[in-house]
Amino acid sequence: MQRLHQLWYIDLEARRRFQVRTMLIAFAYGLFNSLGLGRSEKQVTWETLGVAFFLTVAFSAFYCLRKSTSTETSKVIFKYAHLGEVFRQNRKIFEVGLASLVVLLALSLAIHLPNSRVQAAGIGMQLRRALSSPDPSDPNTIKEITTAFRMATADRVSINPKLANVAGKRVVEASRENPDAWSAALAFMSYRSTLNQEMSSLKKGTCIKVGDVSGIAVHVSESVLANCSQELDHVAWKNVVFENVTVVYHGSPTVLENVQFKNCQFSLDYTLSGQALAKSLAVSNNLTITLPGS
Amino acid sequence: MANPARRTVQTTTQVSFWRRRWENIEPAVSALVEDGLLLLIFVVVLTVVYLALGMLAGLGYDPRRIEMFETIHYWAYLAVFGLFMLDLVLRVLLHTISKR
Repeated sequence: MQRLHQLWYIDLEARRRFQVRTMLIAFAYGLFNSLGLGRSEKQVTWETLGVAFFLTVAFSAFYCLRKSTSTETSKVIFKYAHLGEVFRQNRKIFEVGLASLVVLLALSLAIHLPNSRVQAAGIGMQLRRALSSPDPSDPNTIKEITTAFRMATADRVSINPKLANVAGKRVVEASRENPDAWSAALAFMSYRSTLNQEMSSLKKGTCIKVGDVSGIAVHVSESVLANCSQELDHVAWKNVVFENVTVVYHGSPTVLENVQFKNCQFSLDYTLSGQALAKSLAVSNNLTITLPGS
Repeated sequence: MANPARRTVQTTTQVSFWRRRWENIEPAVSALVEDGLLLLIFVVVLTVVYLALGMLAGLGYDPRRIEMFETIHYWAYLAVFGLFMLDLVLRVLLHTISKR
């Protein structure tokens, strides 16, 4: 125990050597398995942490079992007797550390600046990373895509259109068999509707509430519905623009003809008709579709 | 009537208790602070690299290469962060055990 304490608290040079070697080996292990062998990132991550742990234990054991050298004394002499000595003896490290702290704070502020290209590229990288996962229905992949689209929607960041479409189609396809991917599909639709900036000359209308009916009960045409929550069920919509609307759909019959969505949030039930609507929304913001209900 | 000297004695004892407690853990804390400074520098370097990659992607650099660099960056980050966190946990555990 004394030797172990010596390694971790006193013989910091030896500890540093072990640290550097462990870091390099763990880095090489992760890189080789991920890029060289193309193995699952999640699995290799845990393995790499295991390798780091094993090496740390192995190096500590090696240090403890090694023959004692003559320079070691029975008296414990700490490298730093007082906290202030850490800063005095490592003046450069302390200065760089302090400067690093300032840089980190500045960067964290810069990252949160809206509409920055860096932010868009960061979200793009996150999407690319999620798309490179071999299992599209993996919960982590879905969560990552959902977060990326929600972030892009909230901060009004425009992602690379090709990348966004590939990711969107991927989650919409995945949601047909995996209900967990549905939230990601809805997030993609909300993001997509923020891209629609077409101006409309139609007259302003108000959102409507249709009661407990069957089939198509109401016809709405030539109007703009804005800043409200609107159910699509049991209504035939023709030449209608939804703007800043929470679009709700429970899967009952509805007809959409030349309908546009701008800055909308989608709350669609996970039904066959909901999935058909999602598939159409993934392709275009200008919809013409008849949904019989499911 | 309370002895006015009594309070002074009590305060001194309390102060020396905290001082002794601090002196007891100070070498261990110092070693941890040095590690913390090093980790901070590593994290800043990795953050700057990450932002540089984001800028390259924004400027239209080949996405496949960016993806590869991003993978390298991820493993570097994992190795650094994993090791320092592991060290922190083990050091604190060792300190706790050795004090008993």
